[in-house]
This record gives sequence, structure tokens and C-alpha cells, in this order.
Amino acid sequence: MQNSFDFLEIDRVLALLKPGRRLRIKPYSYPFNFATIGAGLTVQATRVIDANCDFLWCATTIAPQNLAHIYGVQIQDSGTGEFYLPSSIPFLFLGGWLSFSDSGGNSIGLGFPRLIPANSNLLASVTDLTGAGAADGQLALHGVRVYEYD
Amino acid sequence: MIFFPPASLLSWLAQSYGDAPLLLTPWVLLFDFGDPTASVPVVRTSQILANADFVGLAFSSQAASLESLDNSTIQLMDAATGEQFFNDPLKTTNLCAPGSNTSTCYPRLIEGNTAIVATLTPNAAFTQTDVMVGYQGFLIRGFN
Repeated sequence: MQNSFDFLEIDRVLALLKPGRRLRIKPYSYPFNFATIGAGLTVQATRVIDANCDFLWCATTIAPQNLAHIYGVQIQDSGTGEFYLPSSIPFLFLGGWLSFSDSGGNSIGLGFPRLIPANSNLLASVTDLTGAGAADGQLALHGVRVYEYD
Repeated sequence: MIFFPPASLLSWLAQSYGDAPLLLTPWVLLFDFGDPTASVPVVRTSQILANADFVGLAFSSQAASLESLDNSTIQLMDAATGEQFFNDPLKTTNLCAPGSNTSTCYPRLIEGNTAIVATLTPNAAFTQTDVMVGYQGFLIRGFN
């Protein structure tokens, strides 16, 4: 994974989103483990954001990396029903590579980070785009935990 | 490549260390998992020096064949606080690619004299040998 902006921008963005609050920020990741996908089908995985801090989503990776192009991804906030993406989009449009080989690469970050409130219940849907089935794997959201203090 | 501009890091460190003169030394915490056996978790500990704090910036991995470590997961924990670095173990390739420094989104300041515990869990298909994961960053020594 490769940051697409200076990490101090995270401080500045959070200062604007949470004015006047004292914040503590730590890097963190939320993985979604998904099962083997049948031909042309979709599997789902859930993950609850920790209750004691928000999460600022900055970047995304998927494993296995050499199969990144065959997965379609959609993420929904189960609490609000909001979809995070316009549709199930090929993963490479969400976490494309700066450099790529069969053994790995550096995923770029989001164009703008997304603040996900504490205790949100996220539902990730992963679709086989090949029509021939796809291996199990893991989608990971990377970012920072945001602890607020008065 | 690690995208952490040195000037930004110095500015960020001033929040914790104020105006104290700082000696910064590039450093890597190495976790040598050797030749893991399939389905058998391997735990390795890396001690941070007693007289310096550590700022972690990026991870990288290597194995004998320079192939990715897809068939394994990894979790890291600060032994002093019990704090885990990820909500659940990450596929190792979701944390780091072989031969490629993989930045975290934000630096992590870890106090001196603690230990970082890394647990690598190979799955049944794991066949890699000479597996190592490195946590790159720098040591900080402050002077009053």
C-alpha cells in the first residue's frame, strides 16, 4: 500500500471534521475475509468498526494480489443502508497499483479519505468477475483510528 | 518507497517531544519466522531499545523465493499495552509485499523498552521458507 497524500493531511482533515476536539490517531486496518466465490456469484463478509473510536478509511488492498483484477467490490453501511461505491466495481478501480507484479505491488490510496463512525456495521460484497469462479481471500481497509477527547 | 516527508515527521514529533533536540536513527524491527510449518502459528518478538522510542512507518517481507506470502496471516501487538495493530489478522500480502516497502497510513509512535509481538499463521497450503517481515521506521532519542 502506498499513501497518496502526506500523513499530516490526515491531521488537517480530522481537525476540520472534528473542530475543537483533542484527537489521538493511530494506524489501523479492518480485514474482510471472504470465501471461495462460485462462478459469477457474490460472497459477503461483515466487519464492525470498534465502538470506542471512528475510523478514517484511506486505502484498500486485496489478497491474493495477483488475482486483484478478477474481484468486484461493493461496501455498504448496514446501519444506514448507504453504499460506499456506485456499484460493484472492479477492485483495481478502488485500490489500483502504482507498480504490480504477480508477487505484489503498492496499492494507491483513496482520492479522499472517508470517515466511518464508531460501531458502524460494514458489509463487503465481493463478486467473481470472470464467470469461472474465484479463490477465497481478504479485502482490507487501511486507515487510522480516531480517538476523541474533550 | 515510503511516503513520509522528513519535515512532516519532525513537525509531528514536536507534538510529543516539544523543542527537545532529537537524534533520529533509521531502524528496522525484524521478525525472522524461519521456515514455518503449514497450519502452525509462529510467534516472534522484537525488542525496542530501552533508551529510544520507535516510530514505525512501513512493512516489507521476504521469503526464499521472493514470492508473496498469500497463504498466511499476520497480527502484531504491543506487548506492553496488549494493543493489536489490526482489527483481525491481515493476510500478509495485505500488510506488505516482498521487496517493496509498504507504507502505513500514519506513523505509529511506540515507547522504548517495549516489545512488539508478531504472530504469523500459515494456512494449510503454505510452503514458503526463510520468511522474514520487517517493520521500518526510526529510533528517537530526545535530549533535554
